[in-house]
Amino acid sequence: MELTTLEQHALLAIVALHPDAYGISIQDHIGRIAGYEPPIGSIYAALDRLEEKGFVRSKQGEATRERGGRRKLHFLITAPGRRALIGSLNAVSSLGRAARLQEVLA
Amino acid sequence: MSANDQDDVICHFAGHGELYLRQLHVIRARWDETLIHARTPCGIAIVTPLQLNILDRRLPAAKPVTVANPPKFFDFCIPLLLSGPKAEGLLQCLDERFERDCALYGVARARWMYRGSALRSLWPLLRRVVARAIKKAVVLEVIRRFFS
Repeated sequence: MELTTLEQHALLAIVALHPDAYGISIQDHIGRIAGYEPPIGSIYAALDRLEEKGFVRSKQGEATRERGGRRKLHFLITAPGRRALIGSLNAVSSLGRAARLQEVLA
Repeated sequence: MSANDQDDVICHFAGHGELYLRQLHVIRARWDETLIHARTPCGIAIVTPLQLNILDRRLPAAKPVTVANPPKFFDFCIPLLLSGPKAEGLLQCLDERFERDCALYGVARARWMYRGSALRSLWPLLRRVVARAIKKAVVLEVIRRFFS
């Protein structure tokens, strides 16, 4: 099943941040590594889609000290999610090879 | 004020305001030219230099001037567009970012940044809700035509 770029980046961030992947940490990670910061709502929309597809599951954490003691929502990648991510990354890599990207960009 | 003055005020605040800090359960305090921003579990408490004097005299009536919270409007909007735990998670993220911005830029600017960030977050969520509604409407229409 295909993944959008943001879904792909969010899944990679979840894997990298495991087990502390939640909205802000995912946003910061993408901003730090990929150089752009998607709105937090876009990240939640992407995570909602991924959860519907069964690629991630969410787990509520402890209440935080921020206003109202709201709980963080942590995200974990599932086995189908891992497979989809690897498939998607392989597809991007194969397309890059097929376009002879290294030669074109050199 | 010089850097030494700043250090003095911080030490002064930490030393004489100990009881006050304990009462508020302050997590972190930051000083700028006119105000002390003290982070508490319920928001940012802003302590004026006048209250520093109060603390200095160890008077019992030292209370924060205001407790800064982000705009409440989005507490109502976001749960309309996301399911319960996800809405709570998103609001927690916005609050966390607000706290960070308060410490970095001050409360007034952090409020504007919160509004901007929340508004930019509403659009993708709204788009998703509308797309879902259209999908449901199309399915219902197909079923209705099939049986009519």
